[in-house]
Amino acid sequence: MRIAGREKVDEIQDESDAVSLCSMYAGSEMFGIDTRKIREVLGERDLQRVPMSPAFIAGVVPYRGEVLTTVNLRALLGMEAHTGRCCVLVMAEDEAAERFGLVVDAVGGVVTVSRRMLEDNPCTLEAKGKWLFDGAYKMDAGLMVQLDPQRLSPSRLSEVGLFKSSSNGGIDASPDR
Amino acid sequence: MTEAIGLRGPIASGGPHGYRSTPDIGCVDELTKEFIAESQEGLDRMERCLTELEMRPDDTGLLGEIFRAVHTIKGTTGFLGFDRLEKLAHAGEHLLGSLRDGKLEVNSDLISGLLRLLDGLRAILLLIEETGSEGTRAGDEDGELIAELASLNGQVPAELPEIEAPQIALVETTRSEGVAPAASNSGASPVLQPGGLQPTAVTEKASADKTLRIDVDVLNRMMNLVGELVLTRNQMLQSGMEAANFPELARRLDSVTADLRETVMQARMQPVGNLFGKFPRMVRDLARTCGREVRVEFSGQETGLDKSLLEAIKDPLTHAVRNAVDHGIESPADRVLAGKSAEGCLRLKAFHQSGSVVIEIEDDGAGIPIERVLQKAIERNLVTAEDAAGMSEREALQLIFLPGFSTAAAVTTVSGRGVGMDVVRANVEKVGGSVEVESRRGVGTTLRLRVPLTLAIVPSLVVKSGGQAFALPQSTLVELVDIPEREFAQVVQRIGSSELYRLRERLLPMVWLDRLLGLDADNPDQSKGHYLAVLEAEGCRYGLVVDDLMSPEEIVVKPLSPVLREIGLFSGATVLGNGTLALILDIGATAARAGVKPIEEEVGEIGAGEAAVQEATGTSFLIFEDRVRERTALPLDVVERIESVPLGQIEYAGGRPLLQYRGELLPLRDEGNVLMELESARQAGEEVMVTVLICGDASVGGAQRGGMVVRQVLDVSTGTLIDQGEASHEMGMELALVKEKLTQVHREFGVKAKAAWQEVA
Repeated sequence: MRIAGREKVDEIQDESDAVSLCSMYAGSEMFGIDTRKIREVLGERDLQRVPMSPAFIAGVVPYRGEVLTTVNLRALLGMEAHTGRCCVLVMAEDEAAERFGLVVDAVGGVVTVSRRMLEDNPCTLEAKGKWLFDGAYKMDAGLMVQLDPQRLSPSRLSEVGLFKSSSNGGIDASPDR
Repeated sequence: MTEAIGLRGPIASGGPHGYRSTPDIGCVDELTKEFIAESQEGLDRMERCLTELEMRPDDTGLLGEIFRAVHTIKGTTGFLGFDRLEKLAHAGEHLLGSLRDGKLEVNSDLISGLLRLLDGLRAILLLIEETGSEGTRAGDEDGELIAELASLNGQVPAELPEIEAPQIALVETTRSEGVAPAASNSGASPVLQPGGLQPTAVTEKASADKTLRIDVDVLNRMMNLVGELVLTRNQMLQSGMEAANFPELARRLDSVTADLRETVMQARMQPVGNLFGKFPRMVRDLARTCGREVRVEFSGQETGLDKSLLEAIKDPLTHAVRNAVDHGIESPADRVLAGKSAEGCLRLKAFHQSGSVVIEIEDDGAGIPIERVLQKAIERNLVTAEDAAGMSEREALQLIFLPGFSTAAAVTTVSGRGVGMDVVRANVEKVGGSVEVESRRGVGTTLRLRVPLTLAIVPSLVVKSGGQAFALPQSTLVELVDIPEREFAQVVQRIGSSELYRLRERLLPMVWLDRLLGLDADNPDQSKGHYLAVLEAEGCRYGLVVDDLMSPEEIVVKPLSPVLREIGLFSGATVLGNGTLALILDIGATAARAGVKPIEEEVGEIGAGEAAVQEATGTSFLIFEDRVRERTALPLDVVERIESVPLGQIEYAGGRPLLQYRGELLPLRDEGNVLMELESARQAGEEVMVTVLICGDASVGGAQRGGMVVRQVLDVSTGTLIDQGEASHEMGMELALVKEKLTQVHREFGVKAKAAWQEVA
């Protein structure tokens, strides 16, 4: 997979200005997350679905003796479910924060970009997008949308309530009596 | 007695004595922490001794122990620089000194004063633990308490003598651990064996959750096992999967893991006595508030229970003890009138019983007045008057576990607010336990809490539904029913949209797991049918329909994230042997979600109904086919197990087939020549399984056991024997009508059994 933005590295003069992001894909869109906030890239894993869970929950995976809850990026974006195998990233801000996994189609690589290339969210963005996205980097290949893992954690997502109703190809969340 | 060490947080790599060097992130240094833990233990011991002292004022051993606890605190605070604590401890010690010298008499005011001293010391210790300092140095706050202690001593506060040299205290600290309990124990009546005997006392409050005292031997064994684990891993890595000794290595890994698990479990085990320890004080305070005289007796404090479980049953147990003192034991006057001693007795017993720990709270009070219970239940619309009239004593007693039930005439601060036994039951059931109550009018009440040994590992059955694996805790599983597809339409009955299964003349609500969870139904070709897992939890009994049964497994419970816990149907997840995850189903919550209601009162009725049916129509039979097209039956209570055995395992001696079964040689009966037929199939190269009914007679302890080879097992049903006189006896057979079909009944296992059947006939 082509590592976008690698050629830009030279242009970044100021050390403090550089940010390394891990690029990932959901459908045709590219996203980036600060590498410091990613604990591990698990690669392709079999997910155990959790019935009756909110639509944005992809399922659970075993991770170092724990049961890791994963969030499906595609479901958050309102996309169709991915047909192939998915890639799982483990997110953790620090030791104390809640650990969770993020399910994407594929993981690209580490991209170093300049903070100056970051552009804020457009004001026309709908509410869900405003919550999920944290601006976008202008890359040669297009835009790389920045995600904030803190906002993607399952507990935060369920608190916000923006994503409760979305059930796209996932499991019916309404109690079946 | 083994040496015990304090473990704080995860085991430090520096070994048991390396804790001084480990960096401490908290505001309290290691020395102070140790002091706090030690002092709290001393105070716990003091608390127990104080309540005991009130009963046996002349026991100098007890007094010595109390004195030592306070003296140790005073001595150690001296060089740690906690002036406030030292002052208070000094005042207490002075009072205790007078007591020890016989200048003062033990009375209840004095004990109360000393208990307040204890609370004061505890409060300061807690403050130190939380903030690292003891708060105000002026000592104003304790001034009142010190004055009170002094006045108890018959002194004016200013006259406090000089503080003794603290150095001696340290020497005594180490001694008091081992010697003192023995001293207090000897010559003591069986009343209250101090829980302080155990070196593994849990310290109070916050530290109790984080620290655990364990036996050094256990720790050493753990380390050895970990060493062995590492060695085995090394060997495995070096030899690789293909090596000849791989199976042996895998076996060793298995045994080391099992040993390690057991050892860790052992380390988590805490004596129940730790929990009992706080009751004497509580009962004393309660008894004073309620105007009762209560003596507490303990037995089985050494019974081990997992630490997390111990925490979990703390509240239910406290509640039960309160109830016993407030509701159970009568006032002294009433007791004397009833011909009992004025002093009531509360017994706390702990013991092991078939893989679980039983804790009994027994009082010799008035017992639970059944008619009051019924009256209250009717008043609160918990049952109808007609239902109540038909209730047995035992059933009526179960009513106290219903939410919103309380018989207390007046609401007191202690109990009577209607949140009582239902909470006790809910809490105990949450950890996989159960609660029973027994009561005899005028003699007393016994409440029995039954809890599993540990929470972390749960035996469970893994089932499949909608292509996903789920674990059902074995403790909730009553039985399993196989429903083949072809019989499905017959056995499932419908009322409206709800489906019911007729299980031994009892209608069982059916809950489809895949439908309940909104899973995609399994492949359309459901030719193999379904399984019905009969489950019972929180008073609900229902049949859960699943697609397939997998293996029974001992699963390790892993918690779920809060978002998934919110769903409320899963109590956790686990990694199965094949590496995949399975969700653990919360049986009670599933019942609630499916709309299954507890059938508390109905159980009895249906049970009675069932018995009536049985009386009318005869006994239960297991119906099978041995000769082709002939239905044969055995009374169900004769059949111990139905086994599926490879034909190769059946051996012959003197022309008679025999089966080695659990170290016993069982003669096999083969009425239908099934073995011979199967033998030819085996010679054709097929792997053949034989169905064998293991029969024995329950009433003669299985002395005459045997096997019966059958073609297939058909059904379990009730039927009536047809008496045919002597002719049938000669055949060794009787005929019966089961489901209106003629069925032969064997009656050849055991003479007694024969007699019993004839009685039925």
